[in-house]
Formats: sequence, structure tokens, C-alpha cells
Amino acid sequence: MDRVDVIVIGAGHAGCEAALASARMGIRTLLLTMNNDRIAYMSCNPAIGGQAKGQLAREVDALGGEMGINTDKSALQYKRLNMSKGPAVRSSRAQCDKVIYSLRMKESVETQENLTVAQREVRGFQVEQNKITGVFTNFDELIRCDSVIVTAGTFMKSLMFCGSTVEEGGRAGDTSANKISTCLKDLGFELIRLKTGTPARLKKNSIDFTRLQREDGDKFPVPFSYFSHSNPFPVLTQLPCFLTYTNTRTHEIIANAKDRSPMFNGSIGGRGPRYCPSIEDKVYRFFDKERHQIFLEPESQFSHEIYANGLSTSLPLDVQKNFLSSIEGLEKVEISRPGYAVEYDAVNPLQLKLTLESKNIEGLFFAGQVNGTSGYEEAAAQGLIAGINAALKTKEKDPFIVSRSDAYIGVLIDDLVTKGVDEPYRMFTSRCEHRLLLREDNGDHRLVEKGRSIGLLNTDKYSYYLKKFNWQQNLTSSVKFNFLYPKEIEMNKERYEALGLDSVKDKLSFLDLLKRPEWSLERLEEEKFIEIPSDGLSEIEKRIWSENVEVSAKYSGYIDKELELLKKVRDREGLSIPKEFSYKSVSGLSNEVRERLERVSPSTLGQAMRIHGITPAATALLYIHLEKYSNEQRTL
Amino acid sequence: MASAGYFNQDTIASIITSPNAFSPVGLIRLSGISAFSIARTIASRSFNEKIKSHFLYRTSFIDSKEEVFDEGLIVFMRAPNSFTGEDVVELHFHGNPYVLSKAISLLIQNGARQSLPGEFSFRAFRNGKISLDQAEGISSLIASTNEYSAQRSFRLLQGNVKEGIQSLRDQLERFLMEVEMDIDFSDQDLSVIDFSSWSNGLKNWVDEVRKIREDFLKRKPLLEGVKLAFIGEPNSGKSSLFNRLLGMDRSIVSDEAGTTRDTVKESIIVGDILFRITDTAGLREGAGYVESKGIEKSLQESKDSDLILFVVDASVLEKKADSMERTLSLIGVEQRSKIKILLNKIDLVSNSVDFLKNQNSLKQLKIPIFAVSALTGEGFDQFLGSIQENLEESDGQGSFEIGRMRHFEVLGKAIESVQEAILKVDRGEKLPDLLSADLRLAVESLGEITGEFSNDDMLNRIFSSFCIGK
Repeated sequence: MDRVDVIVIGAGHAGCEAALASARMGIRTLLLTMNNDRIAYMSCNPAIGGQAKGQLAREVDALGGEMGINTDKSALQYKRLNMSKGPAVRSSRAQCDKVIYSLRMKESVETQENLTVAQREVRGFQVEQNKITGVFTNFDELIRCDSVIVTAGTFMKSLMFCGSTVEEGGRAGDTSANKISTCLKDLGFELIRLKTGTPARLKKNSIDFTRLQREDGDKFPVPFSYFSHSNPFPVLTQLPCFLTYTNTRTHEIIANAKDRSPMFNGSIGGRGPRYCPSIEDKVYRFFDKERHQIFLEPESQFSHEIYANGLSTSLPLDVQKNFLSSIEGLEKVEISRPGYAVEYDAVNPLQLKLTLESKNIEGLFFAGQVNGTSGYEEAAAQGLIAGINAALKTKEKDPFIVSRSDAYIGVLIDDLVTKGVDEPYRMFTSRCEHRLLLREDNGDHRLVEKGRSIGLLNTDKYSYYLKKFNWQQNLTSSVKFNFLYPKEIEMNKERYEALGLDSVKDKLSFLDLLKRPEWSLERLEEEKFIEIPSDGLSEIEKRIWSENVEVSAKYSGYIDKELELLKKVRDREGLSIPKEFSYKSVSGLSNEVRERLERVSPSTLGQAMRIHGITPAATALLYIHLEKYSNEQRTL
Repeated sequence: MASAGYFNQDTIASIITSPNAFSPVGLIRLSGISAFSIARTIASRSFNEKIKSHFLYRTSFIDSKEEVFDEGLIVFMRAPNSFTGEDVVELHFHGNPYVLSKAISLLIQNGARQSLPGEFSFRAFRNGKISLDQAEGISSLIASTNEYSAQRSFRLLQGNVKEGIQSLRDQLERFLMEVEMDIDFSDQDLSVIDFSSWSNGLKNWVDEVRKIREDFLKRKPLLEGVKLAFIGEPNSGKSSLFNRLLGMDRSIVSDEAGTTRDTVKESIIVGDILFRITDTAGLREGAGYVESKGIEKSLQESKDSDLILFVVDASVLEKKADSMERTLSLIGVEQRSKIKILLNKIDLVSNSVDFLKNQNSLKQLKIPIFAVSALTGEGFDQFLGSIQENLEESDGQGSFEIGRMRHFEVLGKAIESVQEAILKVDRGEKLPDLLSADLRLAVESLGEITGEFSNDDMLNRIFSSFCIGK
């Protein structure tokens, strides 16, 4: 183990994807973790997906990542959100068995060809001429490599807070990695301090579930992975969640303990996420709100601990106990693990390129929570992109960049490296300007070919995709090229009157009929207008594969309009700004604009336009000078 | 999303000859995919699909009431054989600022966008029609005019208009926020969106904006020009101020009192408001025959104008305060509300701030005072800004008044997108992902005036108003 191609530091959700991607692309990869028993560990919520996160997880899957498949191996409950909000914003979510999730991922990384997993702490980097050449471990080894991917999560200089108790560590029961933070600082990186938190875990048999509202998953669950076709599906026995609420008594207890909250008495300085506030935050800021919903979620089929979603807190244990027992169903609750807040060092992502490689140290990549994001899906997406690009670097191939119009992944990374962060970043569908194009039903159409072309997506997955693709093409042509004729309507007047189709005067394709809100593929089949081919598919496959055909038909008008808009921005998105281009040569830029451009050093004109404070005139000037620059380069 | 500015593909229009002066010919250029169809809206019927590219045709120019407002020539140049490489139409009018201003207004109402500085050349460059050397010339144009107009429009836009448009956008953002919350936070314990009241709210919004736009069209001065008359005692510097405003020597200027014996007229466009300015002979008692004819004419001018700029020489004010007041009284009482005092030659006063403080007799007149200098240009921006704001404050049906074609144009685009959303709800298509797309377009249009809209702003709004988070 003296030398490998790529070293990944940290085996969380980012690290696993990074290591798997690199190894699957044929690159010798080493995955280092401080604890082999915490691989892809769900430190907080035992679930994958949710609004916009579902899209991210599926995109990782479509490119050849592991998250989707691993979710299907461990899901305890599937729910697709936003089913009535329009097809563009449907998002998958699954409760997962956190023990199985972790073990299955451990199995994947341990058995992956070209990949070695080892328990080590990284204590230093070897950097020669601004290029990383190796890492030093806690066993005084030097392991040489081409690239290093740092996926340290919340573990850099991390402190955990529960009331006045402060401990070192990035997760309860685990330690903190302090050396690596200092080394990065010495290399000139700007670090920021962020905060996150988690709720208490509760003893299952101390909860009175009979008084609570039971929440089951979807009747027709949809697998997370585009490539999962296990039978039976779902793999595991499905489990319910339960819903309860806080009340004014709960809020009173929390309000009375304000001065004992490290969030509010000044002990914690790091910025926390506003979309995932602690319960004390919610109570102090929105005192008028009478109740907050609490989901009680199973952590594992092997575990008798329950996750109390909605009650993230860093209040002292006695206050936690008090406010919990004021909640319906939790009157006699026992806490198995107290909630706590974590404060940690993160890297300001403005220092990174769109490949997630740092601008200053060649071969040093960062991915996941260490870049100021939050969430397993955001982490996995970055891990995958960093892993791919580290592998491509060793292969001396062009970098792999997913654009904002290709995927949520593109939006995520572009936002991070263009705007930076001042609180942990979470993906939302509203962050995407091309939301109508970036749907769950077409994630594979958007990304499978890309995953294949870089050698990440394996042949099995690819041929399964082609089967699906052909099936969808056939179905599309059969609705497009089969028609309802006026003669037919004339002959069966009564029937078509009942269907509201008696006014049809010209021949009408079933595709056009499908565009009407009251028609669906299912209904077309029921009326025997079309036949949805079985081709030996399972019911689930038929149902899921049809979705894309139906949505594409129904939304075709809007999709075409979006594509038209996209064409217009494509040329400026594609116009790259060479690294050595000097903004000083652009006459007419104000100092303020020039400084911003220099700080972010965008790689395309499109990215430059998204930097806060860059005026339209500034981009026009930049365009002219870029053309001039490339002209000069050509003639040299 | 940042507004695309120069990378936007709208059809653009601009007056490409001097917009301010009377001259034999005035030209407007239209460039972009809809150039032909927009030009048709103000040309005669003979300007139709049958015309040939690159041929000059005679045409009448007609307004929205089908009335002819000018006669001229028109030429269509089909892409890519044109200056910009796009479809281009050039319209030849008589070089009269009023006609040109009316024509450009109509073209904008019919879908064109006022071009940005250097935008035609920028398009020509992008389409490979001009060389890099030429493009570098434009780059300084883009840089300088942008800086200038950005500062200027910011300054001139302090009052009601910016606030008004900001508030319209605020209202829209709230509607947008409702659908966005319905998507991104649908799993939260928040109240469910009621689409019928949502779309009713939007209908009210549209009605309100329509009123604002109609008021604008009704207000004559903006389309026909605002008449300004310089009035004052001889040698107070009326002509120098007049020339300063025009940026050229038109009136004969000398230090001898009484040089202008007749009225002199000129037009300029500042921002996008047309000013028709008159310089008059000085007013004084006991003048000779020729001069008193001039004075009579000056007083007539002051009656006809929308605003009277009464010019006072600051350097001799203390000595001549009495005579100044007598002269002022020559202007009828009924004209009083139109008067603004321009305290000229302020550069000759050692401490202008103290000086102004001490002018009690002037202040008692309760007439707005602006300290300016024809020599140095000091005080001009402030005074012009105030005139524009005044125009924007006249009575109407809407909640505030817009003063520029640009505002009119942007509000029109926003209405169009909001209407789309309302139609969808009316048809029963209550899909937040589509409704949001329409509203985003509307908000982005308004962003061209109020500053860019970003998703972060919207998320901030949600987090600060609602308790989000599981």
C-alpha cells in the first residue's frame, strides 16, 4: 500500500461514492476511515430522499453510483412526495434500516475490485510544488498517490454540545479529526465554522403508539434505483412511522430553558441550517405556532431505538426528558441517546473548481459535508463527481462536469463553487431554473449515456436501461401513430359521447388525447385504445416505465419551450474562461466586479453571470475580451 | 437567475440618429427575430410579406388609432445580410424628436425592447459581422454608457417609481412563494394553498398594473414632450443654462445683457423623457421697443409651458433681490405653481451651502430652488431628477405613476406571464411546477428594474416568514 492512484479520506456517503466511482473506472483506490464499523453510517435521519434530494439520489444512481441500489436493499418504507404538484417535482423518499444500509454499503466497498478499505486517520498531506503527492497516517505511513479526496463530513475539529456538556467528536461515540483541519489551514485554505444537530433517540417500548397516528408508505412503492428489479419488491418487511405533535406545554418547557441552550447562550458560534432548525429555534422564533409535527421513525429492524424527527436539540438532557414527556404518546418515554449539536470546520467551496478539485493544490479534491452542505444525498452527489474527476485525472482525460440543465447535481456544485455558503446548503427544487426538465422520471435519460461514456456505468445496468428505453420508444410510437377516426366515433356514438369524445371532427392521435388532463395511459388501455406491451415485465416495471412516456406527452409543450430557452443560454454556458485569463485586461470593469470575478475565477461565462453583483454590461465586456483572448492564442 | 442583458434574444429597437435635435431625417433600427412583424404594426399595409429584402419602400407611419403621424421610408434586411446579422428593419422618419419618441414608444408597446448601449454592435460582433478591432471600440461604449446610465437612472429613480415597482414585485414574490412552498415544503405542517384565492389575488394584481400602464398612456407630456421655458432677468444666464442642457452652443451667449431678443427652441431626451425647451428674452422693466416685443413673447411662452424655470444670478442676488421679485411678479399668479427657481452661477459663490441657508427672501416665496452652474454643470442631475419625479407624481388611477417607456415595457411583459398562470388555474391545471414557471418569468421581468431576482432571496423570504423544518 505504498502507492495508489486515488485516496479517499472518510467513508461516509460522499466517501463511499467517491471511492466506488474511482475504482469502478479502473483506478487503484484506497478508502481510509477512522472506523470500519461506521461506513455509510446514517448519523442523523434514517432516510434517503425527500424533495429535491430524491432527484439527487436518483441522478447518482443513473450515473452509476451506489446510493439508489443501497437504498432499495435497506428500505423500510417508500413514499413518493408531491404526487399532486406536477410531474417535475415528484420526489422519492425512503425510510431505511440504518444498520442494513451501512452493512450493505460496507459490503459493496469491501468487495469492489480496485478498491481497498483501511482503518486509518490521516494526519498530514505531502504536497510538492502545489501538487498533492501523498498522505501521512496515524501509523506514520506515507502513502503516495495522484489525488486525494477529502470527505471528512463533520469530523474536522468537531465539538458536540448538549446543555453545558461539550465533547470532542463528529458524532456521538466517535472522535474528531483535528490534524487534518490544521494541515488544510497551513496549505492556505479558508475554513468556515458550521453547526448541525440531531434529535434524541427513544426507546421503542416506552412509547404509547396506540394513541398516535400511523403513517404507512405508498400502496404502490417505486424503487429508488433505475436499475433495481428485485423480486420480491420491496426487499424488507415494510414498517410504519407514527405522527405526533408538540404542544404549548412543550413550548413552555423549552422557552423556560432558553439560557441553558448552547445555541442561544453563545457557546456555539457556527451557523446552523435554517431549513432544519432545532426545536428550540422553532419555539423561540415562532412562538405563536401552537404545535410542531413530530414523526417517529424506525431506525432498524434490529434496533429498538426510534428517531424523533422534528426534535433536533442541544438542550440539556433533563430539559430534553421534560419536553419529550409533555408530548402525546411520549408521556413515559425513555431516552436511549440524547440529542446534541455538532460544530465543525468546513472548507469554503469558493476555493474549488466545478470538478471539486481545489484551485490551489492540484489533485486535492473535497466532497460532501466538508464543503458546507448537509444531507446524505448532497454528499453522495459530490462524492461521485469528485471520484469521477480524480479517476479521469489519473487517466489524463478531460474533466467531467454536469451542467445546471443536465441535473440537480449540476445545480448543487455550480451553486457551491460560484456562490459559496454561509449556512449548511440543502438542495431545493426551487434552486433549479430548469426544473421542468430535471424530473425523476427522466433521470436515466439525462445521465445514463454520460455515466456509460466515462466508463462508470456497468454493462448490466446499461443493457437494462436500453431494454427500458426501447420499450418506452415503442409505447410512444404506438400512442403517436395510432388514431381515433371520426368514422369510428360516428359508428359508436353512444360510447364516445360517454367518453366526451363525440365532438372530435378530425382524426386524433392517442398522443394528443393523452395530453388532455382527464386522460392517462392507464385509461387509454382500459378503453382498449392502446395496449401497453407486457414483454415479460413485472407490474412495477410497467407502471414505472410508463410514467416517463406519459409525462413527456403531457408536458411536451412546456418541455419544448424550456428546451428553446436552453438553446439560447447554451453558447454562453459553453464559453469557457481559460485559467490564465486576466481580468485586468478587461477595460471598463469596475474594481468591485473585477475582484469578485478574481475571487470565484469562474470557468465559463455562464458561471460568471451567476456571481452575485455581476452586471449584464460586465458580462458583455467579458465576452468581447474572451473572444479577443482566444483569437490572440490562435495566432500565437 | 440573473437577467441575461446583452445575451437576451429579444427584438431590440433604438433611435440611431440624434434623438434630440430637429434634422432632415431620423432613423430607428429594429433588430431581432420579430423585427419585421413589429415594424409592420406601425407601417402601411403595403409593407407586407411581398416586399423584397434590401429595397427601400415609401410608407406612412400610423399609430394605434390608425392615424398617420409621419410619412417616410422603410427597409427590411433579411438575416444574415444585415448589420447585426439578424433580421433588421430601418424606419426613416422626419428628424423630429416628437415623432421619433412617439414611434419608439409604439414599437416598444408592440413588443420591442429598448436596446442597451452598444447592443446592436454587440450582436453584430456575436454574429461575426464585425471584427474584433471594431468590437473593442464598442466595449468602451458599453462600459462608459453603462456606468453613466446606471448611475443616472439610479439617481433619477429614487422616489415613488422604484418603490412602486418594488412593491409590485414583492406582491408577486409572495404569490410565487406560496407555490414554491407547496412544492419544496409540502411535507411540513403548513396551510394548504387555495388556488382560487391565489388566482383572484393575481387578477387584482393584473388590474392594478393595467391601471398604472393606462395612466402612462394618458399622460400627454411624456409622449409629446415636456415643455420647459427659461425665464428670467437679462444676463442671469438663461441661455448658458439652456446650452448646457443641450450640450451645444445654440443661443448666442455674451456677457452683455439682452443678447437673446427672440425665443429659441430645442428638444432633448433625458432618460427617456422628451423635453422641449424654450430660451426666452430676458424680462425687465423699461426696455426698448424690440426688446419689449421679446418680453411679451417670453411671457406668452411661460403660459404655454409645463414648467417655468426662473433663472436668478446668484452672484448679484443680494444687491438685486427687489428687482428680482418684481420681475417674478410679471409672471401671472396662475402660473406660480409651475415655477422652479434656478439659482445660476453658484460656482461664483464662495460657500454655496451657507449661501442657500441665508436666502430668507427667496425661501419665503415657497418655490422650489435649485442651485446650479451653467459653467461647471453643478446641480444639473439633481434638478433634472426632480423634474422627472414631479412628472411621475401626477394624478391617475394607479397606485403610483411610471414615467418611462422602459417601465411600461417591463410591466407589460410581467402582465403577460401572470395572465398565463391565471389562465391555467381557470382551466383547472393547478400544477405548482407550471404555475411557478410563469410567475418566475414575471418576477424576472420586474427584476430588470428593481435588481435581479435570486432563488436565495425567495428561500430567505420563506425561512423568515414560516416555521420550516422537521
